[in-house]
Amino acid sequence: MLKHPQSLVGIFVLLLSCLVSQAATFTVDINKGTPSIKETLAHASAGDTVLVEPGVYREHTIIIKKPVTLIGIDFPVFDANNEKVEILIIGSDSVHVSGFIFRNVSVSYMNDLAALKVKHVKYGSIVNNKFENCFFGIYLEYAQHYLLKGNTVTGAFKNEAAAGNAIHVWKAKHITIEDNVLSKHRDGIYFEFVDSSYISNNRSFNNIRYGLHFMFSNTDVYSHNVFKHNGSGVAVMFSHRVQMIQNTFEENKGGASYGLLLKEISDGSISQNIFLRNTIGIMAEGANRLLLSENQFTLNGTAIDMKGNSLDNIIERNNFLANTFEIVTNSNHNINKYDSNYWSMYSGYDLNRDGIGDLPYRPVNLFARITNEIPSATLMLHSFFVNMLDATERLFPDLIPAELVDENPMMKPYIYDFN
Amino acid sequence: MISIKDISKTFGKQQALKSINLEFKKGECVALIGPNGSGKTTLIKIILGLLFPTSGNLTVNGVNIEKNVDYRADIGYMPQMSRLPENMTVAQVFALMKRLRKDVKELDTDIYEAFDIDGMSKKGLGKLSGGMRQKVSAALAFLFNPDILILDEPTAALDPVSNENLKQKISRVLADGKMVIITSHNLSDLDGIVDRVIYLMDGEVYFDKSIDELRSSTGEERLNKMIVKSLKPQLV
Amino acid sequence: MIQIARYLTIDLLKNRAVIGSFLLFVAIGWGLFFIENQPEKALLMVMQVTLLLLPLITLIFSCIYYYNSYEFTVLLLSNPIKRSAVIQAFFIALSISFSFAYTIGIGLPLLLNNPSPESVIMLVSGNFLLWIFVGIALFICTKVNDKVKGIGLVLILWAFFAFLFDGLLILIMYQFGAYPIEKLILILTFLNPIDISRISVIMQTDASAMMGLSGAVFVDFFGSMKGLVISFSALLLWVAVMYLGSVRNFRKSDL
Repeated sequence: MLKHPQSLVGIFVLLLSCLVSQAATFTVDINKGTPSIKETLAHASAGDTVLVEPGVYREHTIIIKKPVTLIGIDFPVFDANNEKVEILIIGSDSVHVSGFIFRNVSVSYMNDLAALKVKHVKYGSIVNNKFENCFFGIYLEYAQHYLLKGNTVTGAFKNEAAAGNAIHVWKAKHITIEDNVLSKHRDGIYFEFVDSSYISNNRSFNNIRYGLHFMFSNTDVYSHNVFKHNGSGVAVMFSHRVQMIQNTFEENKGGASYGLLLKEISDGSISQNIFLRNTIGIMAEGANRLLLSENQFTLNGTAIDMKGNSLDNIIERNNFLANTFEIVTNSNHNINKYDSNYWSMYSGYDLNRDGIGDLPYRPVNLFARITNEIPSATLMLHSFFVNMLDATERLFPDLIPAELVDENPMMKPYIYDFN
Repeated sequence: MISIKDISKTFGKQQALKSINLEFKKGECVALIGPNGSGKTTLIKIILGLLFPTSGNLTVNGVNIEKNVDYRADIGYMPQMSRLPENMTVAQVFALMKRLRKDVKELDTDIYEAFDIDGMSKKGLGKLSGGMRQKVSAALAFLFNPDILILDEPTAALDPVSNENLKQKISRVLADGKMVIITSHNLSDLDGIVDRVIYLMDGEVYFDKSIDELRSSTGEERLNKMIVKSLKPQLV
Repeated sequence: MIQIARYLTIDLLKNRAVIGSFLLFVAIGWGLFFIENQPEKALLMVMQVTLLLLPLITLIFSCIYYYNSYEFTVLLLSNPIKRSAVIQAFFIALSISFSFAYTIGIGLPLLLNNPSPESVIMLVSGNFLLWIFVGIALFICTKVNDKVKGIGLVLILWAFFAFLFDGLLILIMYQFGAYPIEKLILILTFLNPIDISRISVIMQTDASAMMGLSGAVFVDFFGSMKGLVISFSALLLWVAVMYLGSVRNFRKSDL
């Protein structure tokens, strides 16, 4: 049956070497003149472990083509010297990298240069590494079943055009991103065409554009993340069935800033999140069939800006506390359902003491409408004149959608038992 | 002591004083009388620097009063006290005035004692009767030993005994060579102390005569009769 | 001047209207925090009281007090005392009395229930406001000798600063919304001390909304510490202008 007996020998040798090398561990130590990482990798076989001792390694464009484990001991440093190169490129399944510091990958306007790039592979992990001053930190394309955990990616970017993302994932599936700390990049996490993935417990702050940028990605979950003080917050766009749970969106302030931007997304849920001190808590454009529940909106400029093209969303059991404007909309009609929320601006009464206000509440404020058209009018906030305008409009709704009503406004804020 | 030259005062279109010329000398007690709106109050306020004359000039002891406040150290003014800080006590008013006039070492407390101001010193100004206010006002006017006294309706609400006290005090200061100007409606109260009468009408000096002149021209003894008689020919 | 101010202040602190305003402030200050368990919301209500009621009370009371002390003024001026000293004393005594009523009446419950930078800014600008409105009242009274006319004029001014001015501003914004009018609006708001105070406070309480202003002019301007310094300087300038204005009027006018 065998036309090429020598190939059988080849397979046997290969198998043998696999068995032998299963336990093989190499150590690279720049201070002791051992072979370089590249050389060591060249000698290593699938399943081997390469340990790297502390020191500064100036190697770059290290391409890993075998399923090996690369472990840094006490954080050895890869330094690319601000050259237009990449440091580590994973081109094999089942590669695990942990314990390294990656430094100084130059900005390039031609290529997305990353400190660590993962291409067309599966079943790997990148754990407990630090990335400093790199154009892109971790860059995944066509990856599946990957774990990114406990990494710290810190950029030093000032303007958006010349900045890369901390974690960049493109065309991937089943990616888990957890416990990472991401700052001072363009986007903290960038997702494009990434499905069935899980983002949790990350902290993304001080990024120039978005803490999380999410496009064309479906059936993903992100939870327990903190997005703070990013240029314009978090953007979730052109995606379906995304669940956003127990995240904190905080201090995203500026002319075009929001805690969470929803654009052309549908059938997801946004639950138990905290929106604190954002210019706009949630900006929804073309958001459909979403459930917004048990979120806490505190001290935002606008809690929710629901554009007229957002339909069939359910907004229930949320707390709206001390926001300047609670709901803003540019439409005269309302096709969303607002129910059983707590609105701190509600001033109704509860005669039958069932905890629900006896008068329905209209959370849209006429003045919010005016500021939508003339932003500088915000300066007139809380002036007596404006208060009178508002009171009149609430009594006789004309410009604000009369049917945007919460029929069951709560008398007291909810006390949620998450967190 | 006071020399008024060509003083005029207009309020809007209304002319309150028309070129008034008057001289007041040491030891004189002048009654400034005239109907309501004749310009009495305006003239006094100009002397005190409360109103600015439209034209003319006014010197007190040879000093032009324009842009000057020190000359008022020589004047004791007894205003009609109606609008006052109501919770300020009599004692506080006196304490304040004494602090403001630290320059005066020798205080004249004759009236203060005669009117028993101490007895009302804890009362708020808002709680004083008309007579009490006038007593306070008079005591203040004499307190700092001024050379010139301007008394505005001094006797209007005083009881007869206090009235007499005040008249005696006026006589005494006149004897000391001071000068007194009194405005009053109640002419009988001025009998015996006044030695010159100036009658103002429509902002002009209608007459300015010594009491002797009036007495000889009218043959009357009482001041109010003298004046009625002097006015009669014109009124008929 | 200090002596006169001292005795006037003693008188004012015993004045029924001052005690009444103090009790009103106490009732509002404690009442709001008693009824409203959200300190942010209570602060907003305190702001409304400060911006509307405080100017009204100080304006009317200062006028009445000034007119009702006419003979006292005359009595003082029959002494060798400068006119400026007398009006300065009125200004200081009225300001101190109302500052006291406001700071203790409203400030104390505010700071105890909502100890925050916003509350401090609220109190500072509230005090500025009342000095300004004491100044405005005296400015008008020293110009207009007739009590009824003076109080009428002061009421009109109150309505102007409290809401007519804001109505006009919004009208201007509507009319010229297409143009970059931020700077113009900024300058215009400085013409109304109530607006300066209000903006200083909302820059803190509604900071998030303010950051959304497309015209970065405002945020750069008011949002920073520098902005606060400038706002307070503007309020101080208002105080100074009204104070000097009333001194000037008083020195030149017939009494």
